Amino acid sequence: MAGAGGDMQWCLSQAKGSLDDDVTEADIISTLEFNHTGELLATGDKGGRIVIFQQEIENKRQPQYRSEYNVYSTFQSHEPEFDYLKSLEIEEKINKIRWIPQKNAAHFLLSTNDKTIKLWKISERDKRPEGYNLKEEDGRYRDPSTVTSLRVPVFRPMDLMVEASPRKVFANAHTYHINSVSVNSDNETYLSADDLRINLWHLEITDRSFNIVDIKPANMEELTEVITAAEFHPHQCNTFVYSSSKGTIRMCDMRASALCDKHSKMFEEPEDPSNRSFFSEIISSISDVKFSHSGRYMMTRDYLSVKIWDLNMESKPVETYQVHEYLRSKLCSLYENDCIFDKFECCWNGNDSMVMTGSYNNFFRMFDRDHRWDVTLEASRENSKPFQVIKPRKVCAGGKRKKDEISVDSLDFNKKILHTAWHPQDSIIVVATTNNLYIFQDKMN
Amino acid sequence: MFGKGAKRKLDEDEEGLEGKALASAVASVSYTLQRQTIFNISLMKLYSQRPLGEPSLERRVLINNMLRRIQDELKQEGSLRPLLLPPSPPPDDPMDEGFREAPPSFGVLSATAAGVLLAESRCAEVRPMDALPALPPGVLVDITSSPSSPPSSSSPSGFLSDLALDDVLFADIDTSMYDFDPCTTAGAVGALPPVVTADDLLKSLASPYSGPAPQVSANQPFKIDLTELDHIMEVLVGS
Repeated sequence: MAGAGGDMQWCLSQAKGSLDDDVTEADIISTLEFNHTGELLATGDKGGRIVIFQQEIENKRQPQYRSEYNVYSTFQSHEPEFDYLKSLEIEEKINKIRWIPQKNAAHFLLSTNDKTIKLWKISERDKRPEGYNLKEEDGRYRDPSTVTSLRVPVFRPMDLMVEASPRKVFANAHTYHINSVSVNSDNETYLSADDLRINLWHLEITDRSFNIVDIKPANMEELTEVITAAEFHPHQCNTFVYSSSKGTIRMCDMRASALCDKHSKMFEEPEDPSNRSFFSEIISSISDVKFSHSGRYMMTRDYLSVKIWDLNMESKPVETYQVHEYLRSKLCSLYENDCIFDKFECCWNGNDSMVMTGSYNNFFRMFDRDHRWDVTLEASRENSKPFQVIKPRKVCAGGKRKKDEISVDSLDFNKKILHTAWHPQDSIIVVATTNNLYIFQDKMN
Repeated sequence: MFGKGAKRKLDEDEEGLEGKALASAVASVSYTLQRQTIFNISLMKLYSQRPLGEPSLERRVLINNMLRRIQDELKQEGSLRPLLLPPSPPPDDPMDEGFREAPPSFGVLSATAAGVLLAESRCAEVRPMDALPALPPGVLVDITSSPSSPPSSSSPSGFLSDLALDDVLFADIDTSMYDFDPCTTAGAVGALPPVVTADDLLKSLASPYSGPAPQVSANQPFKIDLTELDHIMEVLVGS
């Protein structure tokens, strides 16, 4: 892994997607996930499709190699449905994709929309049988009277074909909208979380799931808090966390009881009184929670900041990074245009030394934890030529705007980067704008 | 509690404190207006028509919490009286799994009317809340079943004329006025004075129901005069 973040020089490696400014709703990327080796990158979109890209590495032996991601497989994961009882449409938008650690030649992933989780098998076929005794090559059966000799089919190489097939469908377990899926380190179970409940599944069993968290009040009018994200600990198979719309994270131990309504730890930072406003609760709502690869820390994203928590300290985070503090004075407008409800995600790099998250105007932010360094970069075709190092951007909060700075009022709030991903081993990052995918690589690889 | 400016007190010694009082008055007016604007926006968000898909529960819960907080704050300040309640939003789920926003336990008649009615004057005396009939949430009050008559008013000076308004408020009202569709509301209350905005932030917000808002001068209390009140009453009785 490369050295300090300050040494990194990110270049645009590839940009995928339509060049149009006109965005087709169905093409909007809704989730992004590398597999465990980083060889495969899965994207889900609002139209219910999944596109998997595969890394192809040129000149790997040379110190500065370039890797390219090309389409490996495309398939329709979820279709729109209609809930007749509630008279409501169930969107086919893919909310989350999570890869299952690989056990054999095939790849497995879980994909989910608001209500249904599916296990997909993606496998390669590069051979096919030829020379059937009773069938022609095109599949038509031969007239039995013309069969005079016996021959056994032989496998011959063919063009690579990647097939995706649904192996399991986990349905009818969530009344509310699923926001998270997380595979357990035991590789046998996984959890799915909606606004009020978390269920535990076995990957092989579709007709049964166990409810492990339920925060639904007896009287729905008393509801003031919902679950926003949940994740299993990367190494301890009994531990998971879930975050809430009130800015709290609860850690639960499944050994303690069947229903984990009592948390074993609760992480919450007391509010800074000088920052209190009407919008304090809304901006404290946690949109994403991610354990570090080491399992020692977890990261949370709320509207304005990224916080790193030490799992041994519940009272406050060990690090807080401001993503776009200049928006604090604009919260009323952002409330009015609903931007304040945008759910930004965050991610760790492979060795947990850096974290990344998105912002508006197609900006995204990277923070180097060890060197206390941060940078704002932009994902745009106009401002980046392939293989050219992209320039850091700066937002001017007020007062005199310097050259090359952009003022807060010029920011485009429709260009938001909600999904980012960091290759688990290499210095490669992927950033999704509304309908485009940008892949950046560190030149000093 | 939200951080807010100091309350301006009438009996404060004004000598040598005028400047300070003015500044704090500005702050408190600004705070009040912002609170009102946010309240209106929140109502609009909750009650506007939704498309086919189910709206996000988190968003509804957060907006509802916002409304409740503002409502609690207003109640504590005691300057608010329970008004008629809008009908509950249509149930999303016949099996009661849906989250129905608990309507504010003080009602609002229309967003604009609310803006006018709830804009509080710092000169207003505090009205005791328990002098008024408690209305159960989520229920449209029919005056014929109203347990107690509206209290005789010891009306705060410079604010709503209670007597006249009370009669109107507890009258049987056409529920179609509770439609928060900005198009119909704007049409109906076009004659009403627009919601006033105060600071830059609020100015930038497009009020869906009104034209350009006049700038309120900082030290002018919110006076609703009787002609304006007549307008409101006309709207309320749907004439």
